[in-house]
Amino acid sequence: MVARRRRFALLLAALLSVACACSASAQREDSTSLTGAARMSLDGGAILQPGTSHRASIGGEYMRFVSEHWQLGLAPSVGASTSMVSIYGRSSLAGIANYVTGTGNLRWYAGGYASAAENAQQGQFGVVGAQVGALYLLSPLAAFRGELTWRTPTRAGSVASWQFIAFLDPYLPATGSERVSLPSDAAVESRATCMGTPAVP
Amino acid sequence: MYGYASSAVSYEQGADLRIAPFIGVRWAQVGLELTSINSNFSGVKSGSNEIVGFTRLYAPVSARAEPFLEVFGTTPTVRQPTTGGSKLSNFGGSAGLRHYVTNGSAIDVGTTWRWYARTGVDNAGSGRAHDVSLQVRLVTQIRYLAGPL
Repeated sequence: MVARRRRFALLLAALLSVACACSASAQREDSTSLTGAARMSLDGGAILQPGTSHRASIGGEYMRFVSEHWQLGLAPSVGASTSMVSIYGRSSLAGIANYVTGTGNLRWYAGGYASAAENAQQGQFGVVGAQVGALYLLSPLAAFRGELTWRTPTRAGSVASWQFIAFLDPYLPATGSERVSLPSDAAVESRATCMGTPAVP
Repeated sequence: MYGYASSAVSYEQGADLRIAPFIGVRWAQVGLELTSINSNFSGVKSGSNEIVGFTRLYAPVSARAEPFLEVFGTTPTVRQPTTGGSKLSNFGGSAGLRHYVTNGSAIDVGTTWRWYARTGVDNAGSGRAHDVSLQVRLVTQIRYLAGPL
């Protein structure tokens, strides 16, 4: 337990060092303001299999730039599955904070993560973690994101995990006055999600 | 949608890539989605790969609520340590509504009817002739004339 806390403290210190080292370059005036913009995701579904089982889940994330350098957000999710005799539920709510630096279309960030969750198998538990990443703004409405995450459950005996994740994220622009229209014939929809969890020691 | 119990596996890898351009008109779209999940639990490997092709037609009446119909076909390959491999092809259709949140994102809400055509020789997916699912999903859209930053 002590070793885990020490590793967590070292990781946080490393992340803060990276953020501070990068902050000097972020002091320059930036023509691409992100303040007020928000990354969002939503994905849910329910599968109904008559006579056998049903499953349903929905989750999302809302990460808003409250300033040029701070991005704060929440990620709730709920789910349930049923068999012939039982119902299993799960839910979680995560809070995420990122310190963002960089200029122009390319931004770097480091931040922390904490969540509370509950499911039928494990009861209530918490997860804390940290992440570092970069995002490349394709337009005010979309950005590529690559992120390395570290997560560890707070209960004793649990094992931490590392993941690399790549996304193509939609963004709500900072100003809400944009007129929303139907797409032209030159539009492309895309989703890119890649992730890997390396070996757990 | 991904749920990874990463604390219980030695490694797990996943990828989901989807591209769906509009084909010269704003009411027709074709798409391809590739999904791959592989895991190694203490040396026991399992995973699945899936290729989905689909065509979607829209009734471009409003950015607030745009009805759509979709047909799709899927060729998944499942690899399990106990049952070996299998292919459980499926096909079906969807109907729903799209709401544009911005000019770069939209929420799709729809119902999917899916039928399974079993071609494997093991027990994977046995007992499933069809299912019905409901989906809600936020999609990212890149328009050629997107404004400058």
